[in-house]
Amino acid sequence: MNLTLFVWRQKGPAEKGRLEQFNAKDISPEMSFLEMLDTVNEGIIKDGKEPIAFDHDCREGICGMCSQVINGVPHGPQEKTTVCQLHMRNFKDGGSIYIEPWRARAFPVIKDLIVDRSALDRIIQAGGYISVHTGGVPDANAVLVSNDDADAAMDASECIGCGACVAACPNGSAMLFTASKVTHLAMLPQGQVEAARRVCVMTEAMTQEGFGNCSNHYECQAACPKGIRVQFIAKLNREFIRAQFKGARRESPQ
Amino acid sequence: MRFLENTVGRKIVIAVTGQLMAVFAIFHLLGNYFNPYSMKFPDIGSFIWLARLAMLLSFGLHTFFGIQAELENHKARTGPYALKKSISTTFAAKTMIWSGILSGVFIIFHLLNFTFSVIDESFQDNYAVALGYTIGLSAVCLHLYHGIASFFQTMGWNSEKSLSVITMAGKGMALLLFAGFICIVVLNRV
Ligand code: SF4
Ligand code: FES
Repeated sequence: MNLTLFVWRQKGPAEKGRLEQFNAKDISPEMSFLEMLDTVNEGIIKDGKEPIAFDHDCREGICGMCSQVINGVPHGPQEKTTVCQLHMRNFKDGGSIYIEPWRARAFPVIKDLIVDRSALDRIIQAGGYISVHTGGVPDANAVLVSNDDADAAMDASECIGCGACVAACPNGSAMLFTASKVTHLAMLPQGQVEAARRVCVMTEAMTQEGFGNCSNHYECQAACPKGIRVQFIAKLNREFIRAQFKGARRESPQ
Repeated sequence: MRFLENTVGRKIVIAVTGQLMAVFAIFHLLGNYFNPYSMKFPDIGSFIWLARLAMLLSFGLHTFFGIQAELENHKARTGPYALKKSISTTFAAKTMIWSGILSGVFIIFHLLNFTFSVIDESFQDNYAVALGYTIGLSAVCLHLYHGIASFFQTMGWNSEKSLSVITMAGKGMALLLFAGFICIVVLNRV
């Protein structure tokens, strides 16, 4: 396959970026999108120029590093698929592909397609954990969890923190990410103790990091490579309302 | 006060006040077709004053928090994508701020026109006013096209299955309201 790429190039966080055109020649349809970029980069390096900087790690769809908006959709055209798991057979030979970084105030561009997503980590640090006593490993099934709850918690925990939901959101909100974390723990008995505080501090951390407010566009769900559903945001909202009656503030250890 | 500083808290205020006004619009439409004064409601007078107070408060809070959210959301975005596809959002959802502002202006105009009689041109005998009503009603219903269903998501009053049904019903309700109101303008005009 031969393709024309329009890739976002930006030297650093404070620099102005622009789209640069590249020709990707002799691309195999079986290549992954990142392998295609590797091939293009080899050509660029041979020409003695600066290769395209992009994030990646596992290349098997579980780490959430490969953050690229491809032809206007975070993670590209295939549903529930990360960029690393996207194959070139999904593109038309001779076509052109736009590749851009996640664009959100809370995700500053480090270089080219690489953005700093540590704002998501700080949302987790605010309350995305449970406090447990250390010591011996608890017996299996000592705490009973219904199958439905376990399934829902498992679904919510599938979030890989990639940030595609933010990239897709017209408001630059990280509500789907935050909701998946809140739901994951709220479904389980172990998460109950800090539930009221968690939902408040995590949503506040989200705002502090500069993410926008959710207004129910549902673009996040459409872009999420892990199928996290907006129903989890409804669950977060219920948790927030419940927290108001539980005096979440007074329980706060801060 | 923490409630009103939290993004979800403010969203709930926007949703509840918005839905109160939507419910008012539904009764307002019904009232146009079936005159409530002819029915034997006990003490409708004081009820109307209560409703007016609730509407005034809702209008103020909804406008304030709506604009605040929009300004913050604007700041949360950086430069536009060279190419961006919308997958699931709607025209109505993307234009809430504009349909909202237009609706606000329209509601104020409508009150000056009917309730306070400051503007005494009516759509019955003035084409320009009739056109204004048509535009205003379109804006209101476009706003409700996203708003009515959005309320249930914000309150968390849905489930895995009911979300899509509620979304459809909300859109349907907005279209019904539009049809109902526009008929009043058209039928009185022709
Ligand atoms: S919710 Fe989905 S899109 Fe958002 S960070 Fe998690 S996996 Fe990525
Ligand atoms: S590189 Fe790990 S998810 Fe794509």
